[in-house]
Amino acid sequence: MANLRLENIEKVYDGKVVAVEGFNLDIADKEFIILVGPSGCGKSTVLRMIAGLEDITSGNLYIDDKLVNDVEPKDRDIAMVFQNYALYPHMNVYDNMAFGLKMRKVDKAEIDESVRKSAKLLGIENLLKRKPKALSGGQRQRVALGRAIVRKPRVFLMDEPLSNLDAKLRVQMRAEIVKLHKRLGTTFIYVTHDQTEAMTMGDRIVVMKDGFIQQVATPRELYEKPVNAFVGSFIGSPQMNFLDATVTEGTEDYYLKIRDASFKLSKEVGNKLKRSGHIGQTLIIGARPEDVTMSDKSPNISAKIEGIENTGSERYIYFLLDDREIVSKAYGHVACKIGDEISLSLNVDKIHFFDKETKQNIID
Amino acid sequence: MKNRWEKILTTLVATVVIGLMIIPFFIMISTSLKSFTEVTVWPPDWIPDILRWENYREVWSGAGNFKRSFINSIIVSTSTMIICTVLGSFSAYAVSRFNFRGKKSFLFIIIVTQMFSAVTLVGPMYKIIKNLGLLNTHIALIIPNAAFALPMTVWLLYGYLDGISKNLEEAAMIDGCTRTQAVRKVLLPLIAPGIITSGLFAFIVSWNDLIFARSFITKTEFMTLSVSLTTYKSLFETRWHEMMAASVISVIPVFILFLLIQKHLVKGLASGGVKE
Repeated sequence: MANLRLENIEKVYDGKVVAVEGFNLDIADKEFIILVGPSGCGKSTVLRMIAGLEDITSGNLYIDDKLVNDVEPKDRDIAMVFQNYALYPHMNVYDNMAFGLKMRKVDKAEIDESVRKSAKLLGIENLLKRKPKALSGGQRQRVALGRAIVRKPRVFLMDEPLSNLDAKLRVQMRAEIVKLHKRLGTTFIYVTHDQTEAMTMGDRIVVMKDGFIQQVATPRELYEKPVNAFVGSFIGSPQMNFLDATVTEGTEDYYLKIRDASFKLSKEVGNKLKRSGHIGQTLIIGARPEDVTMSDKSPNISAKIEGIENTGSERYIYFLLDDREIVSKAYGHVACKIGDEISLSLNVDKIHFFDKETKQNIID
Repeated sequence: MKNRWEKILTTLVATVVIGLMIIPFFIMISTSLKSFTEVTVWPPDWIPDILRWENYREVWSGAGNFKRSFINSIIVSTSTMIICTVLGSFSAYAVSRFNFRGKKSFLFIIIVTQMFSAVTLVGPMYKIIKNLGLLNTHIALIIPNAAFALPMTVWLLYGYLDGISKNLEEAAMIDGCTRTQAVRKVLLPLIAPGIITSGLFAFIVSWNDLIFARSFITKTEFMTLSVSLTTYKSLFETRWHEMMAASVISVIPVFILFLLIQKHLVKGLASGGVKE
């Protein structure tokens, strides 16, 4: 159990390649925090710096208010699960799990009890005598988790632990890790590039790009109030639709103009846009697939269907609008086919407004 | 049908190749059990009527100082092997695990050194060894042999180490090991086959060396086996039977080494711990 504080953390490789910059984050005790971002965004580097496997170029890292920048990994009381599991190939499952405790000179009987308890928790009691070679991917994953929990560390670090599993197992393990977190009551820091994992598992999510934190928020907040277009596009699947639009001021109301359609905006949103000086300017609007609906109600935008994806409970319908792909999410059966000209309506209350230049969210 | 012919063909080729390799050995053993006159008989007797084991006794404890050469070879080869595996492991670890300036050039340069044959270097080396006052010592053979075998051991071990995920050591370090402990408890057991292979390689290089031994050693008490084998040939006669008996003895240590460690040479020990 521990809280962590990362203060202005920076990582520079070979004096020139900046991997992480100005990283500030407070992680509460027992929190499940997720670092997410595209590959090369520095999320794994942050995790490895917390583990002590990478030096921190500048900035301070505190675990339980103790500065640990120069503390060896072995003395940080953390556990880490690697993407490739990193099980010791020459030891059987039992020894793999017991290794950390043996190194800490824990009493033999106690080790045995801990290993068996953890193995039971993960359902791998029958595998204790096997070598990693003789295990399936899912089983190896469990052993890697077991090796981590057996030590009862203050912080759990996980570096894309599920990305080597097949889709079905991944969903299952996702739920199991969340359960494990509840059960252990330990701080979890989890790195992934998969936004679905991030959204379904974390208490809070840190979205990173190019070494910078973009936004730190709860999954819901991220989805509903992305601070910029990148976060908007990264979180949510299929991703947010982006369209060029202008906002005009009428005699009483504000209108959002996309092509020849003009949608009435709420006063509050209009006023905000006016204050920030975006009236009359081209801006980018972001609309989630569920906020783009097929409807003949005016105002509407006409578009041609380019593709239809049926996932069973819902359908994703793809259009091309000004060379941008737009996707709409529809529930149930929709009578349409590829090539149809249809009308699109927008749920303007749920739309996000981004500055054309800075890509920052103007409203929230 | 095609498969069957393929099988027959491969078996045939394999038999011929193995035969070609085994025949000299057979001749060596058969000759070593003959008398001097029997050797010259044509057509040769493949298996002599009387097996003259006394040839071996004669070689081992005879006037040729063979026993001393045998011990010298053991000393030189074992030392070379130890130096190569220790230095090789350290440098391979550094090259595989750390980033430093000149890492690529280092690997390139050590492979370039393999392109010079010993013959081209033996002259300058003689000069150096003479100036150091090391002629007619074991060191005079250990250093050049180690220098010749080391690049290969570094590359061999580098290949082994590079195939083992860094994450394993990192996991060990998080589990409570220092770097040294992580290497000892996790890495070492995994690269043991590599260390054994490279050690064996260094041993054989040194065991088979003739050029250095011929050039830097002039006194019989420091002679190694390879040189000793040439002493059975004199101006007037070649004592084939004794030379072959000596050859058989000289093969035995390497043969035993292979026998002992062949099971370690099988690859695949390191697999399974990490997902590729």
